[in-house]
Amino acid sequence: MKPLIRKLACACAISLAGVGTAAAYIDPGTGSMLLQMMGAAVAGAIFYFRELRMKVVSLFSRRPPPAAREGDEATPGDEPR
Amino acid sequence: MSAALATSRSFRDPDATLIEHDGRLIRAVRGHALAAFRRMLAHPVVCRWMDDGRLVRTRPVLPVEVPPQLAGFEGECFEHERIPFVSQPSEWAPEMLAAAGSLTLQLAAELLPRGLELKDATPANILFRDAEPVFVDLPSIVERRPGNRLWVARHQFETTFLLPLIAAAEAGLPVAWTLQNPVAGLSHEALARILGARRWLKPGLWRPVALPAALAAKAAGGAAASTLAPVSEAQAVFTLERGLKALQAQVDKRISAMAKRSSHWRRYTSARAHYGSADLEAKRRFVAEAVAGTKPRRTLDIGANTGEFSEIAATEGEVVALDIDERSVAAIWERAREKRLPILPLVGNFGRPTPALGWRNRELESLLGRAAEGFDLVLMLAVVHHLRVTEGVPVAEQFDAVAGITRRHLLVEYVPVTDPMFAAIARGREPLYGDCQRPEFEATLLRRFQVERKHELPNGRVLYLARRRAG
Repeated sequence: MKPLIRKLACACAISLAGVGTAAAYIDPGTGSMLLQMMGAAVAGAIFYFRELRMKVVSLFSRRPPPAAREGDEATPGDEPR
Repeated sequence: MSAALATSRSFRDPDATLIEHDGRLIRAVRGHALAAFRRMLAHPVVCRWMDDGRLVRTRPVLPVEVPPQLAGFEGECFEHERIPFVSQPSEWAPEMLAAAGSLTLQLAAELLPRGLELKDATPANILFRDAEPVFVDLPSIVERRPGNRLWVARHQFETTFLLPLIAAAEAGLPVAWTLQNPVAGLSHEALARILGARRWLKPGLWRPVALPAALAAKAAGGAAASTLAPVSEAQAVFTLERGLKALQAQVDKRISAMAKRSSHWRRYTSARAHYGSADLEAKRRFVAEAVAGTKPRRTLDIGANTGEFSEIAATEGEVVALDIDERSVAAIWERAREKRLPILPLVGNFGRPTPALGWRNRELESLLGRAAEGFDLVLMLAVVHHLRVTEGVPVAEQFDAVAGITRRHLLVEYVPVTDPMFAAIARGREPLYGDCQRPEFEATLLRRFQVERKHELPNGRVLYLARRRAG
C-alpha cells in the first residue's frame, strides 16, 4: 500500500510542480476559481458539523438555541435613517 | 454612445459611467441599474461608511444641475465628493496597497450579511484622502444572489492586491512594476515563474501562488465551472466570511514581512554626514518661515525623502509627498496616518513621471496632468542635482516643468558641484553639468521665477523662495 501512496504523491507533485501555459484570454481565473470551490466544499463540511454540534448541545441545554447567525436578524447599526 | 460617454473616465461598467464637468465628478447610472443603485445608496451600512469617510460621499443631482452633455442620458446622475489628489495604484507603497486591500475586505465583509457584495475588487476602486484609503467606486456594490457561496471578485482581489504584495514581500518587486495595470494586476502564473521553486518550498505560498498557478495550467484546456449549487443563506455567509478572513490573514502576513525590511533612504536622515546640526536647523527654519509666509493650501514635495519638510508644509494645508523610494514613502505614510497629517505620500520619479494609462491613455491621467496648476507651493529640496545628474534633465527643463505645477511659489535648494553628495553621484563628471554652477543656476531660476528670499547655509548650499513669473 505504502509504495502506491508514494507513487501517487510523486505523480501529483510532478504534475503540479510546473507552470504550464494557461491561455489568459480563455480564463485567467480558472485555478483560483477551482480552489475557491474546494474551499467552499470544506467550509460546507465545517458548517454542517458546526450546526450538528449546536443541535446536539441544544438538546441538553435549557437555554433556547441561539439564532443561527447574526446576519439572520437585524444587524446592529442598520436602522434606516 | 454620446460624446460625453465616449470621453468618460470610467466606461467599462455597463451599469454606470463617470464624467468630469466644471470640476464636478458626475456618476451617470443607467436606467436598468438605477433602482438597485438607489437602494444601495440608501442602505444604512453605505450611509454609515459615507459618514465616516471610508466611502466616497455621494448625492443625487437635481435635474437642473445635470451637465449639458448628459441631457439625453437615460438614467440618473449622482455627484461624488472630490478627493484632493487622484493617485494611481502604481504610485502606492506596498503598505498603502495593503491598507486599500484591507478596506476592500472590510467593506465586503460588512456588505455580506446584508445581502450585498462587491462585484469587483481592484485598487482602481480606491483613492487616498491624505493617508486614508477611500472606496470610490459605488457601482461595484451590488445585490448578492442568495445562497451563492463564491465571491466573483476573489480572483481579481488576489491578482491586484494579494499577489503584488507577495511579490513585494518575497521578491522585493515594486508595486510600480506589478500594478501597471490595476485592473488585471499580476497573474498567479507570472508570480509562480518569478518565485520559481520557492513557491513549493514555503508552505505559506502554496494556497496563494503555487496551487492556483498549477491548476490554471492544468484546467485551461477545459471549460471550467464558475458556479456552485446554491446553499442556505447561513451557509453561504459562513463560507464567504471564511474566505474574506483568509484573504485578510494573507494580506496581514505580507505586511509584517515587509515591516522587517529597511532601506538606504530610511537610514538617510539619521546618517546625514553632509548636514551639520546648524545647517539642518537653518534649513528647517527657512522652510518653516517660507511655509508660514506663503500659507500654501496645497504643497507638492518633490523628493520628500522621510517627509520632515512635508510635515512642516502640512501645518498650512494638504501635501503630496513624492519620492522615488517605496520604503521612504511607506515611512511617511505610516507617520501621516498615525498623526492624522494631511499628507498623501506617493512613489514616483519626477524625472520619469507616471504616464497616462488605460484605454486611449484616458483612464488614468499622467502625474503631470494631475498636478498641473494644482499646487501653491512646490518644494525641491536637494533634488535638482539628482534629476540633473541621475536622470540627465537640464535645470532649465526642471524649472519649466515646475512652473506648470505651482500656481505661486517654489522653494528650491541649490547644491553646489563641490558638495560631497553632488560628487558622490557625478563621480568625476562634474564638468558636464555647467548649469549646476551657481551663477547659471540662479540665471535659469530667474527666467521662470522671481526670488523673494534667499539663504546661504554654512555648508555652501543655498535655499531660494521664489514666486512664479506671470505668463
